[in-house]
Amino acid sequence: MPLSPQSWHDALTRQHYIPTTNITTALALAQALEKPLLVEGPPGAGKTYLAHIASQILDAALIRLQCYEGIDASKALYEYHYGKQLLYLNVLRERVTSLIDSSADLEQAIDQLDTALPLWGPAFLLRRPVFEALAPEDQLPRVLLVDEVDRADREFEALLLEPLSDWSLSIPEYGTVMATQKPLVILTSNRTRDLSDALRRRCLYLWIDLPDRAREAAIIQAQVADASQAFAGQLADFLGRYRQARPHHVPSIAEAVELATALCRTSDPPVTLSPDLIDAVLPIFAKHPQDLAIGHKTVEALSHDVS
Amino acid sequence: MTSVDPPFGAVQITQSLTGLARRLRTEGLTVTPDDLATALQACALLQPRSLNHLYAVLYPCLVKTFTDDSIFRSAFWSYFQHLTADGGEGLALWATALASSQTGPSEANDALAESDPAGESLNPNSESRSETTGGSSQPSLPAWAQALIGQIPEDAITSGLAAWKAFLQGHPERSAALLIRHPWAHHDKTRVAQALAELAGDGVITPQNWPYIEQTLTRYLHLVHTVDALSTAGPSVPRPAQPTSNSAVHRRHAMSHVWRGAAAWTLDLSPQQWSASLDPLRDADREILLTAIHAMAAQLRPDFSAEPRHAHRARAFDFRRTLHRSLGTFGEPFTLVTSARRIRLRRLVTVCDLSGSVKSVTALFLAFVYGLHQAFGGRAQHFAFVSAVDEITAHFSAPSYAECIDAVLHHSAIDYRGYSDYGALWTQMTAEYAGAFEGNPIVLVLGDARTNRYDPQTALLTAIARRARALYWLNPESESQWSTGDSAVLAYRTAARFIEIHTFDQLVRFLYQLPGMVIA
Repeated sequence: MPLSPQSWHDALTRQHYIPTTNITTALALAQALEKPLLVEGPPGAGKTYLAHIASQILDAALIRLQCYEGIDASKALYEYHYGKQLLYLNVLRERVTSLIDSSADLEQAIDQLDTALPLWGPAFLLRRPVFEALAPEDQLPRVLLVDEVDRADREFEALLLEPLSDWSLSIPEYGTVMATQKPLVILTSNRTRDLSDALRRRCLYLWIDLPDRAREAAIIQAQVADASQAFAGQLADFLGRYRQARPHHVPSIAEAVELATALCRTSDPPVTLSPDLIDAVLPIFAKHPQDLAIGHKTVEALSHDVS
Repeated sequence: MTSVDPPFGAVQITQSLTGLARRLRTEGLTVTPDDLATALQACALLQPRSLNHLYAVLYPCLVKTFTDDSIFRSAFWSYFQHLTADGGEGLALWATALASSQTGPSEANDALAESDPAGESLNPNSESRSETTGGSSQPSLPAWAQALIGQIPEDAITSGLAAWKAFLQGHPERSAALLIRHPWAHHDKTRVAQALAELAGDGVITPQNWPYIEQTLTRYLHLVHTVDALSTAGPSVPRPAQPTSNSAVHRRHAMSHVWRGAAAWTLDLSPQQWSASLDPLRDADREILLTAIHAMAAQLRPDFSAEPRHAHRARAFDFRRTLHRSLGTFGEPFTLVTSARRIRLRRLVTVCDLSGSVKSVTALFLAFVYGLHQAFGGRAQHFAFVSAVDEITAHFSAPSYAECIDAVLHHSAIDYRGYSDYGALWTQMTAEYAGAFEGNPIVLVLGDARTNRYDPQTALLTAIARRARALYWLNPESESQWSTGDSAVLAYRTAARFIEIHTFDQLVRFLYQLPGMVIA
């Protein structure tokens, strides 16, 4: 039964994921309309995590397909186990020969071979993530995460078109595998290159940006048990200003949570960032030499404003 | 004011969304019938009760990339503005109608049902109502409707009969969505007529239930005509005629002939705006022309797609796939694999003057470049300069043009108070960014070529031009002013091909020729 946007909102919040209306609406539509959801946004905005949480909410196993340059059908869809085929042929060579010898003609020999040793049957078919998501062996629901699809080659996108639009997979040697139950499919992209229109057309679209101050504070409070409202707000202020200063590495939500966790664990009650403390926590979110200076400047400006 | 008259059912909703889709198309967004059908289904499912909610519902269905975000936002709010202009009355009607089209029969259907004690009338929403209220999933359909549904083949999911089936099952909105995907054809009509004749022969259709059947048919045909009229009325965004030759020269030639016709459809501008001077650009025209440029970039983006577009294009030997396949079979048989040739984009290098004199033209040009940057997939580099030059490519990954241009204009390495020094530009480019001109790129320089009496360093530009496949210099000054005062056009003319883009239509004409220049 598809969840409503409100149900998604409640369930995500219970899992400490603070959603926006756009996120809950898109998830509800993806589930109800049985369409893949293409999620774009800057790195660290919570796209992959959304798929993880969605699988937990739906009580479904998450199948993650990490894309990279050069990924192809044999890694993403299916592959025949050539080694196993050769091994079986070698081991059963004598029995196969005797089986064929007893046949009346060539046609009968082929039929008998196909029946006795179906080399292109399911026993030799390796189920890769997309195949497994469409027709899981245990028949339990699946969430398929096609992560960073923009890293894959353009040709790879074409391989996904059939599974994503028709929920089927055509294997020339085997036949067409139809989805026994349609998985929730979430594709993520960091926009390092433009995806094809054909892929976009088959998907619903969701843009997840880095959080604004209020949402970031809510996320910190939800994810870090000891974080008070004031502490989370001040930390969100700092991160907002730091991002505005255009550092080379923009801190992700995960790094914001790590920063809050570090501050909470090193002092009780947790103290907010100050010029004295910044050096200790800079390695958590500043990943470039120039970003260290930006971190110092930001915390000084923040302290000045507070005082 | 309220332009919405009750009853406001599936047809009107379809009409609203089709109108929005048409508006989006004119703004440069690609909205396919499938997208529209998805949007209709989404509205039917989630029943948005406010414009904000409607926005959230339509966004994932109609927006396909973040660069379309601003276009969708402005088109949506301007299109549905009338629903809030009357203090919310129109919006309330819209929402009520939307909900009633899902959860209950219209007044007309109520009246029909009241005069139908035998239950022969078709309640269009009986099934959906039972679903939404959690009641029995068994539809309360009259016998003739069930018999008609039974006459429709199970595999008729890609024909007009699927829409007819959905209508009979009580889902007019789903029916409308299916009609958009699979229009009602003549042979569908014939099949229905045959089914009716067959059922009349079997005694399922009688003189008593015929008025209800006739009414259902009339309502369905009304839906068919409305959807048909809305789906086909008016052009979407016409594409420039595709050149038949792969030759870059022919392509460029063909594009130059079609640019104005295509642009005229896409960019809804007055003659004054078409011929607006870019040097200087009036404030009143800036936003309009910027919007037009965004639309044009969106329209031209598919031309830069690296996907093979012609199935008949000569296929090329694919070494990687050949090796992979032969490994799978241990080299026997060794099958050569070919794949469709991809369109190869040449590297593009843009060098833009950001000094006050040409800043407005640069902003328009960068808007276009921003719209196409992603299509180049890392094969484009952009530089900006005043007195010193710096690379600004990284800013083109920003999610919106506003953020991109903001980042460019606040780029710390560029001193905007300085004077243009083209000699220093070419010196710095040669010393620090020589790698940008590797691999025969197309180089576009945007500037007035006024050196402020500094040394133009013509030899350096000539050296760069030798390494580039082509070097085009876009000069926003009127040609009559070239070679006057401190202009270095005469000196640079030996190395670069100068193009006048003093007016907006000159800029558009050049940009329409860009695919022919960069597609190898």
